[in-house]
Amino acid sequence: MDLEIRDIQKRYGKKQVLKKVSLTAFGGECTGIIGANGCGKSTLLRVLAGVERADGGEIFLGGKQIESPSRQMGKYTGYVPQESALMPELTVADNLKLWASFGDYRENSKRLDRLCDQFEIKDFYKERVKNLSGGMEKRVNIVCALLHEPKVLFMDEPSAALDLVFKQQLKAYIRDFAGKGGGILLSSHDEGELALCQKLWAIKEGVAQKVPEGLSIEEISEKYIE
Amino acid sequence: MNIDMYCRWTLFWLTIKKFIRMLPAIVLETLLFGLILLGIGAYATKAIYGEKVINEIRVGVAANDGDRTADMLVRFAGAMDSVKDTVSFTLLSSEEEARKKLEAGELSGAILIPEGIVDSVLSGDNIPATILLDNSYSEMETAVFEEFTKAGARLLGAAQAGIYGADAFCVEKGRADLIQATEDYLNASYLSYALNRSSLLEETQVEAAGGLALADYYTVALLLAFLSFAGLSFGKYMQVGIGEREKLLGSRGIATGERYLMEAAAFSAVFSLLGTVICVPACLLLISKGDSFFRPDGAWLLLPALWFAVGTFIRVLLELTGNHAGGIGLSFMALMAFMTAAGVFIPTAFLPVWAEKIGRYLPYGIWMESMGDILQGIDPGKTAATLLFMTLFFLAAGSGAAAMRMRKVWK
Repeated sequence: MDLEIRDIQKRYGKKQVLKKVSLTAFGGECTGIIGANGCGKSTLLRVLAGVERADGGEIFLGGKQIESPSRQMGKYTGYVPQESALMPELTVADNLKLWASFGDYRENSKRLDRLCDQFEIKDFYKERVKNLSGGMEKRVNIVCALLHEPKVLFMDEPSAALDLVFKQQLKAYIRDFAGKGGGILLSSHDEGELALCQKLWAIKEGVAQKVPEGLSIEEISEKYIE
Repeated sequence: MNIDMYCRWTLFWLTIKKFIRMLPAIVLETLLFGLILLGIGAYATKAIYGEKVINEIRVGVAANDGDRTADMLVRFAGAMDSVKDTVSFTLLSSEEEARKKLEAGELSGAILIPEGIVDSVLSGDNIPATILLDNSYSEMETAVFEEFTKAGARLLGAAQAGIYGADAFCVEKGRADLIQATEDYLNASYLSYALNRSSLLEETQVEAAGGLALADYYTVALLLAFLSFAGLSFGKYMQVGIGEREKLLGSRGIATGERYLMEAAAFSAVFSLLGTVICVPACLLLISKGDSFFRPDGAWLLLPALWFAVGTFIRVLLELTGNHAGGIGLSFMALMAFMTAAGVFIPTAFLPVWAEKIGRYLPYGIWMESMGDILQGIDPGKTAATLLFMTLFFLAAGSGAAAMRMRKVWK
């Protein structure tokens, strides 16, 4: 499922974070978003996930315009936020049960089992979230985003806090997801993750620019980040 | 169960589970709140009522026809056994002086003796004496010294004719030197033998505890205070404000107002359980000690509903103030104010009249009365309707506040 965004704008108070961001993320591809700290990468992903409301612009998913992203995007997309969305006082099992209850909960429950094995969550299934390490919590958040088999995945620095083993596992999952036709839009500072991306977009001064292929990391940093 | 209901039920049930898990920590925190409460309560009792308890009630007496009538009353009333240890009478020169001293707080009340009162008594016209009162005193004190001053004025009216008659007799017989002794003797005789003093005091019952035994009253008050502060302790585990989780739930179709209702209902259900489990044994223990107006009754089934209503109020308070440290502090102060005005710490009869009038319409005033009625088995239908209304009102108010907050964020 292809994702196309046109002229997305977002302001926080007097600060215009996103001026006119337009880009396309195709199904079956991993698309990366890069930029300096505070340039609006997370804001863009939050707008697309329906967690923030854009001040202007249009979003098209699978060729159809999304009129109300806050209500419609959740059905087709999964979002791995930077900040955890889990209830810290409950166990991992309870949190997963909550997110599995959205949509077809029977199918989600079957998928849950497989994902828990894949991300090795069953070791701390009964632990309260507040007792987990950052990396463990991130894995649970990733599983929550994948439960309802989204068509497009938005990931905000997904491998931050993950150890090397799980970084590799995540990369394998991203390749697998894209290989099955899913679209991924991820923001990252990690070279290894960015290396997975077929396309890169850089956000600078509130506008998205396509990064030409073949540039080195130093060239990208110099031109699009500094 | 359809898909939409299932996710909502799951969220509701998991929220209840979350609050139940937090109960042990909350009970401990509440004990700490309770200690602070006792300290504040002791200070508030002294500050609000304090030394007024041991001060005499000071009444001024003024007469427009010269000092003699007022002087007679002062000596007259001052000799009354039932009055002299509680009320002190002061002779004043005029009504103006009386009003000035009342405003300055030097007097609790004043009796203004009208001109010609003796003649009016003799002729049967009975011109009434005017009583001025200081309204800043509490209802209890106002009622008490109002009765004393009325009694004093009536005594004056009735007895003055007799005393003046005796004075005239002494003068006619050439024994003006005996006037003072005669008046003193008649004062004492009249008070001791001539009148049944109790007939001068109207039967106005002044109750502090609203018809309950004092132990009953303070049990209800203590339970409301203790459990309300326990409810505040849940604050930091609530979703107040717009967080990542709330926005994600919104993107999955659970609107903010709806999410608030589920959380408020879950919290209130757990709070209701906590309140009932603590309240019932406490009241049964009180009943077993004797002298309680409470009795086990089917109306006690409304106790969970009462605590549910209290829970919805606490939740909306936290929604308005926030659940960070400052917000919980603000909620604490708000609860203290509500409870003080409603008579939780000190019976409202000892508060200024304006505070007492406001307090009975505030949530805690209503709950004090409701709980007393429930525990006595009085009018459960009316109590049920009141609690239902309050619950729905607070749920709606909180849901509205949460939705408005989200609307601001979504702007």
